[in-house]
Amino acid sequence: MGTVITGVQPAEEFVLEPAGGEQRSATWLESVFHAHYGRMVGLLARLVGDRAQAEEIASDVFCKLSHRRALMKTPAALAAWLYRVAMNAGLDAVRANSRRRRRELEAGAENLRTGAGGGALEEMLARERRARVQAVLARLKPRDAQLLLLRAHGLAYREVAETLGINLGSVGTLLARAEAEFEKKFRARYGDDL
Amino acid sequence: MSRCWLDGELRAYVDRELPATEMEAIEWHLRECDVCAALLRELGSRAARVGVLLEAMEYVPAAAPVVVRRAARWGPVLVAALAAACFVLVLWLPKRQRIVTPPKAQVAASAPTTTGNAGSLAAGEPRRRQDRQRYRKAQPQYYVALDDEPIESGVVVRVALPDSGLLADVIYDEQGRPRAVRPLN
Repeated sequence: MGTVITGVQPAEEFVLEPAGGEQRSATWLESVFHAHYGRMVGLLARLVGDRAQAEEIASDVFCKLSHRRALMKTPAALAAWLYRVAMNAGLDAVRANSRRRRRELEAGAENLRTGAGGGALEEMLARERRARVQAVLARLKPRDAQLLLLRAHGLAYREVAETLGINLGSVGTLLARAEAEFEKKFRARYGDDL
Repeated sequence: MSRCWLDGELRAYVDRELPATEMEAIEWHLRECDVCAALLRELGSRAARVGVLLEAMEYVPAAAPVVVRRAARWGPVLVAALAAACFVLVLWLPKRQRIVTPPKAQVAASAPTTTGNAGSLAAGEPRRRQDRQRYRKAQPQYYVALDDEPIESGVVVRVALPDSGLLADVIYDEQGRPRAVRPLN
């Protein structure tokens, strides 16, 4: 007499897959990794300013994906899920890195005082500008921050719409709002020094 | 006059992300609508300003601050290393003097060939001369083996040649044979 399983939860359905499902999901995960890992790391590196940390975050995202095999059935939602999780993790890292950023800026000021390095002033200013942008991005709605970053990363509207799971026709509207919000918060925090 | 365009559509026009027909329609409309033209200029300039700021997010390798952090990190280490070196030097200097000055216990005063006055420098000599003598003795002097056999144990005997005044330490083995010699002057 076969065992009757009742009340299977969505998260468990792939655990109860017949033999061969594991191999299939591994292949799927590998193909998703090849398709998205490079771009994801690029975006995260731009966001957090540290390639090693970006790779670490991206690896964590794919580790989470390996436990979300239900996304195999909804490829349209996959990219949106991946980049939403990655961007949220990146924004968390930006918030957590604020102390390190402050230390780097102090170190830059020290370099400037001691005259170490050729472009110490330029380097320090660039770091300060980056820290400001990161701070403002971290205070935006996650979708606005994602939108700005994806667009700054050079994605076309169609790619942005696919990645965020939004309508192509609304990308312009959402982008205009995100830019207005970014500028408003930036001015509120740092004045008119844009 | 054609209809006015929404800000989202004008924003997409800035990025040239609209179909060709819509792009052309907006171009025509902008020639006759100052409101939309002003809105377009505002959207375009804001997009440019935000774009410049977001360009600052380009990956920059952390190079310059590392120099300062390294200097700050190595500072205490260097101080500790210097202190340790001074401590070793302080310990090593007296030890080195002890090694150079032969211990009296090793000198066989009863040996027939010894002068027996190895410690005479300590008595009655001016302090300055003693110091000079000690300094001279502190120069490295090595024993020269008198044969090829290994020396397992022996006795160090300080000897002096009466006529020439030469002073030397000689190692004698258990059979009384001289095995190695070290000149002292």
